[in-house]
Order: sequence, then C-alpha cells, then structure tokens
Amino acid sequence: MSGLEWKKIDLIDLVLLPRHRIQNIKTEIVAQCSNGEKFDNKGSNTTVFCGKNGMIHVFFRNWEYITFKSQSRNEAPIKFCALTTMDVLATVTQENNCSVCIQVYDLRKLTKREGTPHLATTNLSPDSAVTSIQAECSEDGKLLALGIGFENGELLLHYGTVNSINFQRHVICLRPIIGIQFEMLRHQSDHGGLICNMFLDCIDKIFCYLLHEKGLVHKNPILDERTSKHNHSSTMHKPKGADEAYFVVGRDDAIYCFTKDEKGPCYAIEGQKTNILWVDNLMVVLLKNKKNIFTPLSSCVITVVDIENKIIIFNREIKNVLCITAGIASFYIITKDSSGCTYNIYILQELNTVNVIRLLTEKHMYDIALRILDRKGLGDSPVTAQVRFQYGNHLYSIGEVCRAASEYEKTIGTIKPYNVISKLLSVRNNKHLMLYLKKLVVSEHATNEHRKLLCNCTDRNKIHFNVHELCRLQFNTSSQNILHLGASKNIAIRGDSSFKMSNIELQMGENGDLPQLFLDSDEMKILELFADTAEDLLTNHSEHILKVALSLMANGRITDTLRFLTLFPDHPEFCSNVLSNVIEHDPNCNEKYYYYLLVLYLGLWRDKKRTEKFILQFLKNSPLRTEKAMVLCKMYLFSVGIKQFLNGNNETFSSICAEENIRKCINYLIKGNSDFKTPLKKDPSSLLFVLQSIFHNADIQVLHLRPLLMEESMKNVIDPCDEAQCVVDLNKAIEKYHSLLVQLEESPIEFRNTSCEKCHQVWKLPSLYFICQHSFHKDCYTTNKTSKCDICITNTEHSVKLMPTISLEAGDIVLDISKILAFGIFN
Amino acid sequence: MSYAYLFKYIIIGDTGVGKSCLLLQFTDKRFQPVHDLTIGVEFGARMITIDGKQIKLQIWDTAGQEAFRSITRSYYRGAAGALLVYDITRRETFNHLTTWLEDARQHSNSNMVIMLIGNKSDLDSRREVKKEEGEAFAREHGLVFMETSARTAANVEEAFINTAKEIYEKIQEGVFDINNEANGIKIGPQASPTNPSLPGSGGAAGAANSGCC
Repeated sequence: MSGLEWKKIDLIDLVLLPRHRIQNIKTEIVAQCSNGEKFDNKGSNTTVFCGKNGMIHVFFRNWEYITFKSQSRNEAPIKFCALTTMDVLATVTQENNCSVCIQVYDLRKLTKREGTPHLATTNLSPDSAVTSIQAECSEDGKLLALGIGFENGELLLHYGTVNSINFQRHVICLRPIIGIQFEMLRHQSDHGGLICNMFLDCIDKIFCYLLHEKGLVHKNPILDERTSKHNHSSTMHKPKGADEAYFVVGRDDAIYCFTKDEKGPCYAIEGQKTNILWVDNLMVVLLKNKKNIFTPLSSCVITVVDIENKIIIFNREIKNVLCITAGIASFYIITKDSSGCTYNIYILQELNTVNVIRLLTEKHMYDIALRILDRKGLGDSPVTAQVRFQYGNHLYSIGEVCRAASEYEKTIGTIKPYNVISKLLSVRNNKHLMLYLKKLVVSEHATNEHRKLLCNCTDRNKIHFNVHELCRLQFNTSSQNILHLGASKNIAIRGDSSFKMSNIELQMGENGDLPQLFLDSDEMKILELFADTAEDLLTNHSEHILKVALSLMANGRITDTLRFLTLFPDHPEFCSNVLSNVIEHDPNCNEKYYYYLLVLYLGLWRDKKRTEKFILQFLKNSPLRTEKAMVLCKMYLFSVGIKQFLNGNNETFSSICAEENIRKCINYLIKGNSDFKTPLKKDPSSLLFVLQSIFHNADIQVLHLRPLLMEESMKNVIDPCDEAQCVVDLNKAIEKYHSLLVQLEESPIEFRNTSCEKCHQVWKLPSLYFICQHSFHKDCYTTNKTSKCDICITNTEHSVKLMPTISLEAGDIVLDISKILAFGIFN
Repeated sequence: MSYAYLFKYIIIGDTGVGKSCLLLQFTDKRFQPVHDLTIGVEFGARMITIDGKQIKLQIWDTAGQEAFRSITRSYYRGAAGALLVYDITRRETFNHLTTWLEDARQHSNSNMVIMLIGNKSDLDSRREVKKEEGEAFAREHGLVFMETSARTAANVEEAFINTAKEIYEKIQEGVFDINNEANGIKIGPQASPTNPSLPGSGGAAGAANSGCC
C-alpha cells in the first residue's frame, strides 16, 4: 500500500449485525455473487450464496431470503455464479475440468411457493478449467450477455435472448481469463441491435470488444499489456456525469481504470486485490494480507477509499473474509468462522456527519470536510460556516491571509462579524478587511458601525495609495497631479506623516518656500516628523530632503544641526552634504561641525566614496586643531593624513608632543573621566604605553577597557612600584597554598568518631564523613544545596561577621581567601 | 462530441512542480493553490481547434514521486505528446530533467513530441533557473520550450496547443502512423465517418478465432 502518500482517517465503523439470517446457512459457501455494486447501485441489491450441497440461497435487499436447489446434473458443486442487474442468475458447475453445466435462472420469478425459476441449461465439454463468469442483461431484460472464461484463454460467449442460450467459442489469448465485464450501451448499432462493450482481464492483458447479436467486433482489442504486474480482480464503474464506464482492474501496484478506447486514471494502492467494489465515490478494496499468503481466506485487509477526496477512510485487517457486497448506501462484509460453515455479516457504517466533520477539522482537513458537507447537501448550513471560519483561522495562522479572507467572506450571515473583523484589523490586512466589509454591507447583515469601519478602511487604503502615488510623481508633477495632491490634503491632516513628507517635498520643489506645516510646528515636532519618515524618503529623494533641511536650518526652524543629523545614521552622504552646506554658508559656525564633518568624510573615504585628495584638501582648508585631527585620522587609519601632519608639519607635531601639551591633555582627560584619576596621575606615560599595546589588537574597543582600568589591581599594575609589590604578594600566597597542600597530603586524617554529630547515638552504617572530621548517620544528615558539613556551615555563618575585620587587616584578596579557608577548615 | 483526432498527452516531472495545476488550468481554467498529491495517475480531457479541425486532447497527469515511477512508465506507451515540467524556483527539478527525458525516450514511441515547461513563472523573485538555461536544455535535446504559470494561466493554453500543433504537423508530414493507436493518436468519427480503423467491423471476430460450440 502506498500508505505514506494517502491521507488516512477513520470515518467508517465496522459493526457486526447479530442474529442475521445469513447465519441460517449451515453449509460451506462455494460461490457467491451480487448485483448491488453493478453500475452504481442500479442493481436490485440481491446477493446469492451457493452452498456446497447444491442449494442456492438468494438474499434480497431487506435480507429476506429464499433457497432453492440447483438444477445441475453434475455432482460437483457450483464453481462460479453471476447475477445481472435484472436478477438473471447464471451458475457453472464443472467436473474434473471438463464437463461443464451452465444454468440460467430468472430470480424475478422466484417465490417461496413457486419452484425453481429455471430458464435454460447448457452442457458443454471444454478442454480447460473455468476461471471466470459474468452476465449482464439489457434494461428490458430480453437480451443477455453471458461470458465464461477458461484457463487456456478461451471464451464462451452468449449474446442474445435470455430464453435460448447459444454459446460461441472464441480464443482470446493463451493466458487464463480471470475477469469478464459487460457494459450495455443504450444506443443501438447500425444493425438495430444493442451495443455492448465486453472487457476481458487475462492476467497480463486487458481486452475490449464491441458486441452485437452476430458476435464479436474486433476493435483495438488489446487495451493494455503489462507482463511485470499481474491483474487480479476487476469491476465496472461509471463516474458521475461520464459518458462511458470504467473497467477497473486491480493489479499488484495499483488499481487501473480503462475506457473502451484507452487507459484512464489509476490509484496507487499496492497489494494483491481479491475483490474491488466501487459505488459512487467509495472504492472498497479487499487485499490479501501478505503475512498470510498461504492461507488465502484467513486474513485480509479491507481498504475503503474516498476517491473524490483522495483519502483512505477505513483500513483494517479482518480474518476469514468470504466476500464483500454492496447494499443501499453501505457495504457488507461476510466472514466465516473457523469451522467454515457459520457466517457473520458486518456492515461498514459511515460515522454520523457531526463526528466526521469533527474528526476532519481536528486533523485540519477542512477542505475535505467542506466537500463532504456539500455532498450531503449541507453547503449552506451553519455547520459549514463554522467549518469555513475554522478553515479561515487555520489559513490565517499559516500566513495564507488572502485565502483566509476568502473563507471568512463565505461565513457572512452565520459567524459574528466581530470574530472576523478582530482578526483582520491589522493595517497589513486592510485590503482583505475591506473586501469582507463590502460583502457584509451588501449582505445586509451589517450595522452602522460596520459601514463606518468600511469608510475608515477605505480612507486608510487611500492614504497608502496616495503615498505611493506621490512618491512616484516626484517633482515633475503636472497640474493634474497638483490637483491630486490637493485632494489628498485632507488625508494628510489625519496624521499620516509619510503623506506629510511627500507633501512637503512637492511643495518645496514647486516654489522653494518653507512648507506651512513646518511653520506651524516647533523644532521638536519637526524632528519627530523627520524621525518618522524622512529616512524612507531619503532613499529616493535625498536632494529634495536636503533642500528642505537646509531651508529649515536657514530659517531657524532647526537650530540643533548635530541632533538633526543623528536622525540619519545610515546616510553619511546626506549628513556630510548638510554639514558642508552649513559650513559653506557660515564658516564661523560651531567648531564641532568641522570635526563631525571630518569624521563623516573619513567614513566615506573608507567606503571609497571620497578620495584621499579630497580629505587632505579639507584638512588643509579647515580650521581643525592638529592633535584632534590626528586622533581622528588615526581612528580611521587615514595614514596619508597622519603622514602629512608628521612630515609636512614637523614643527607643529613636536609642539603637540611637548610635555606641557601632554600634561594639558591628561588634565583634560582627568577632568572628564574622574574614574581614571589614579592611573593617570600616578604615571601617565605607563598608562599610555599600556593603551598603545592594547590597541594593537583591532578587536579591543575603548569601552571594553573602561572597567578594566577601574580595577584596583590594574591601578597597581600601572604603578611600577606597586607592580613589584604585587608580584611579591602573589608569590607569597602561592607559597602558602603550596605548603597547605603538602600538609594535607602528608597528614592522613585519623577517624575516631564513635557517634553521630547530630543525634549523638552509637555509630552505624550508612554514614557520611567530611574532611573536617565531622560525621553523621546518613539519615541524620540534612541535605543541603552545597552538600557541605552541616556543622561547618553553621560555623561559617557565625564567622562571616568577623570577615570585614579580616579583610581590612589583610588588604589583599588572596590573603583574605586563605584566611577564610583556614578559619573554615581548622575551626 | 465528435472530433477529427484524439491526441494523448502525458505530463511528467518532479513532484510539486505543478503538473496537476497545469492540467486543472487547462481543462477547468482555474487554479487551486493547494492541490492534493497525485497518487497514481489522473485524467483530464479538453477539445481544441487546430487548422479548423476539432481535436480532443486526453491528458494523463502522473505522480512525480519516485515511488510511482513504474506506474508512470506504463503510461508513456500510447502518448503522442509529453509535457516535461520543472519548477523555475527549484533548481533540483531542473537537474532531474535528464532522468525524466531518458525515461520518456526509453518507454515512449520515438516520434513523441516533448514540450519542456518551466512552470511557476509568476514567482520570478524566487527564480533559481534562468529562462536561458531552460532554452539551452531544450535546444540541446531537441525539445520545444516554454515558461508557464498555472496560477496566472500565462502560456498554459499555448503549451498544450503548441504541442498539439507539433503533433498535427507530424501527422501532415506522415511521420505518425495514425492507424497505430499505440502512437497516442486516434482518428475520430469526424475525420473518418466509416471509421476505416475497424477492420472487423460488421463481421465476426477479427483477431479472435470463433466458432459455434
């Protein structure tokens, strides 16, 4: 079974029908047939069981039954039987693979009082064993097609009246004919007779012949030939609305369908099929269980496939299956017990719709649930709406919002709009919410609130549209576009800052005046406005935003230029343009602007957007202080700039490095960084030496150093005198620890305790011993987090109070630790 | 409905490339975003007109998974045209074309017209296979090439109809033996009212020996 590919869910129950009339059959059933499955329940739902004792049991659709004796003179039991949709029964008995007796009965005339409804008997002596039989009648019941297949590939065919059986012998192939099916067509042939297609299944070939009263018509007889996979069983099925029926053949790998002209679809269900029934959308397949291949009747797997929904709705192993028959909207499974003479009947009963839908929705098979509801005529029911809503929720949860919205729309009138609206309220779902609300309004289930919401959604959508539209228009707007802009003004007032920025941009482009919006706002609001949207607009309209920004600065609407520029950390080009313009217009501006501009230029130089020449020119023309400019050049590894300072301005450089200047610089640093006061004061040259060494590593940043420099030990390291002392202290500490370890190693502890430290009772096992020589009964020991000695923990807690004194006395953290350890261990 | 010719097609390609969606778009003119996995072979049909003649296209939509390869192979024989489909957003489906092509050439008749289809052209942003690569593959292997989108229906009609035109041209050139239905072509009642392809018509069994018992 290609079980991995099929969806599976149990939607069918197997129910035993107790005290059924079939249990009255007390003999072994040797052949059975029914017409319930024929052409989608067009048959009368009659089932025939032929007993080994020659009795024929006919069960009607209500499971009432009549039994009569076979008229065959052969002593052998009935081997095969076939029943037409018009209740004409044909039976075959065969003795020693030669003498064949064919009986035809008209079951329509069968009553309990009347005798056997015998129509005709034919005795033949073929050379081979019978392997199959099939019969079919025309709708008026006058024409009978009866075929008997033989092991040697021969076919006995009668195609004529019911009352007079006249067989013609045909050699079809050299392999056994294991399946025969007839398809009676309503239209007539040129000769006035009914046309009938005959399909033959011969192990590895499929044939199709067109029949008329005079015999076979050869018409593309071989439909399919496949030696690698063998055919096992066959049936006929006419799909809904189709013109022609399918000849359905079960092969090892799949179930194949054939029309009279060609191959149709196939369904990949693996295994040896012993029986196939197909009624409406349900296909029941009886598969021989591989585990019990040598005992054919002992165990079978019954699989029910919902073909329309491509889902297996029943798959179970059942023992001793005799056959499956189709009843009214159900299937019956007949099994026999181990004695082989008592029979049970089970019905494959579909679960009620509520349970089916529940199971399907639990497994997120919403589409199948909806199709089933539709099939049952419940397409407009509240249950369907509920399933659709759940389906919508599921689709929404997996990101399929469009499809979710489509499902939600179909729930209008049943599901409360609030439930849907609350899910689609997000801006990104505005379009879907609008569609839903529009349908809601049309359906007349909407309230005024819903209509108002639709208006709001429409406005929201327009804002979005207008922003995009205006961005597209840029500055070469035609008069028509200006009109469009004017129409959008109201929307802008509603607070969409994106729109405002577009508006501003356009206005600046048209007349160069400062937008009214800014004239009405203070600096904070203007900065907020830029912070919200300007960065997005910079991507496409940096020049225009630059004009707006410069205009705002020139008009004094923005006074804190550097703060303004911090809004655009990812746009150094824009920032540098702003600053260079500001400097150009006011060379005596704040000195910081020059340094910030240098930083921006150096960044752009690093990104290869400015040349070295450009930077050098800027350095030359700007009133920058050499030492600061050098630091910045060093930061950006702008070596050309540094060289210029070193080579071209030797005098200046030496003056920079003068002791006095360094001291000034350090004092300045101390002023701004009180934390570094100690190291800077003790020995600034050592500190600078350390920093220089550290900064050779590109991964270390200044911020990383701050906590390090604040460490007391670092301060000691920086001071050369303290450094030496520190080394001496550390060596002493190491020596102490070493001697302590030696002492512990060379002094085994003698254990003398005779009682538990806790309960003071006599010693007994199991017990616990600590290195501190305290010992406890295991049961007395209080489990604590650290698994330390209870008594020592108490002592330590007591001694903590003394620790500050110790710490102050030692003045060294290592010494502190050693003292604490000593205290804990030896007291 | 009567038709002049019946052409049988097979659609092949890796799983998930959109074979069933192409068929659904062609036969029902709709797109199903979530399509159940094809388990076996599905079947579709549609009438088209070429050169003023009604032509019925019968299409076998096969499963792309390796597990069903033997079933798919049994359908090659009897197909006049094949649509070999790959997904332009999944490189591996393009890489497997050679295997599919070998399979098709081995099990089909030598005259079968093969159309290479790069499906999902609407997902250009996720494209992994350039159109030029598809064209080059088609040129190298003597195939007709087209990029389609089952979602937007772009080029779907053209793909099926152009394949039919190729087959029709081959019939006109006498390349196909139209009396041999194993070639995937059947003459309909419209083209031949007397249906000359039925040699035993009106008589007793042709291939079968018959006799009265």
